[in-house]
Amino acid sequence: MRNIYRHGDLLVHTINRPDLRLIKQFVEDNRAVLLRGEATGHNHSLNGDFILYRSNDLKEQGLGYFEVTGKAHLDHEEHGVIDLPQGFYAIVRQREYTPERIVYVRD
Amino acid sequence: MSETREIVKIPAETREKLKLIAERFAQLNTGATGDNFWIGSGNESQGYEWGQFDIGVNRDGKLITCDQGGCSCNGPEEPTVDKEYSLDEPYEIENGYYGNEKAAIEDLISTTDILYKVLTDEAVTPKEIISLPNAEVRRAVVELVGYDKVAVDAELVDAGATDGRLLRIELEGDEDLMLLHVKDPSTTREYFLRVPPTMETAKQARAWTFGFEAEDFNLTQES
Repeated sequence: MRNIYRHGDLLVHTINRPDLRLIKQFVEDNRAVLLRGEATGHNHSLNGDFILYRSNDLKEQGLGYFEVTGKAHLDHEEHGVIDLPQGFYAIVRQREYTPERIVYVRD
Repeated sequence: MSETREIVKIPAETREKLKLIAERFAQLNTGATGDNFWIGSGNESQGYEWGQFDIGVNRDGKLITCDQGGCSCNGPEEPTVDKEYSLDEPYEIENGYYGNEKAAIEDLISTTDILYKVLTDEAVTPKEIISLPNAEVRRAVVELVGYDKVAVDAELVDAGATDGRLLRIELEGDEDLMLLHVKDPSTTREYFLRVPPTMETAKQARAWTFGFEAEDFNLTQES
């Protein structure tokens, strides 16, 4: 069973390492901004020991993947801290419906 | 990153409305601090690079823009003001280098029309409020005009235990407006998110907003 963590309009869930070519991302100071709010100026960030990946497949939707290799947590100015156990995760952004198309939730 | 170079304009009517919004946006409690109110946004991504053009107003009554972009490994940060323009002059500039200025301005114009109505106590329909593209601005508007104005004529389809309420508003000559009304557990702010008209339960609707089926959507933790 996968673990699902919701952090406002951002969600991360555990997955088996995807069968995709993944490209390691450069991360500074053990912190990556996964999503930010335009109106609020507040960011969802991942902090700690992790490796951030994106898929090599351009058609892959979503914000990418990460692997927690030690201690890591999600943080945001308005939401609490969520500690994430070691493992592989997919990042999902909340979406909503319009008759024309599906759009990501913006805040 | 933009390949198309075109001149984009903001109509005089929108600029006039923006002057009032610049004066009064503090009435909208969007959780934003500071002097800038970002209203329109246009994204552009090519491969692994992202670009975002933000446009808004500040408390000094100036039009402000921020054009930023980078590699997908580092998401956008809070916009900072790149340029300021007078609202008395027509705003004409080439498309953003990174982000999509045209999309941001279209977003700005439609949002400004609705915000102006709200701030001048003109009647707004639930559909107009729900069409505000930024969920945080939408929430602030709902708070200002009152939940009853949005939920007027709304039928309660389902009340979930922890997943909020699923509401349906019938619109004449248009697709039903199906809304998920949720309260954020951290901030206790209330949001309305539009979901597909085929949704039957609040849990199904909330799961859908994250791309899950209802039966798979069991949260380990949320905040």
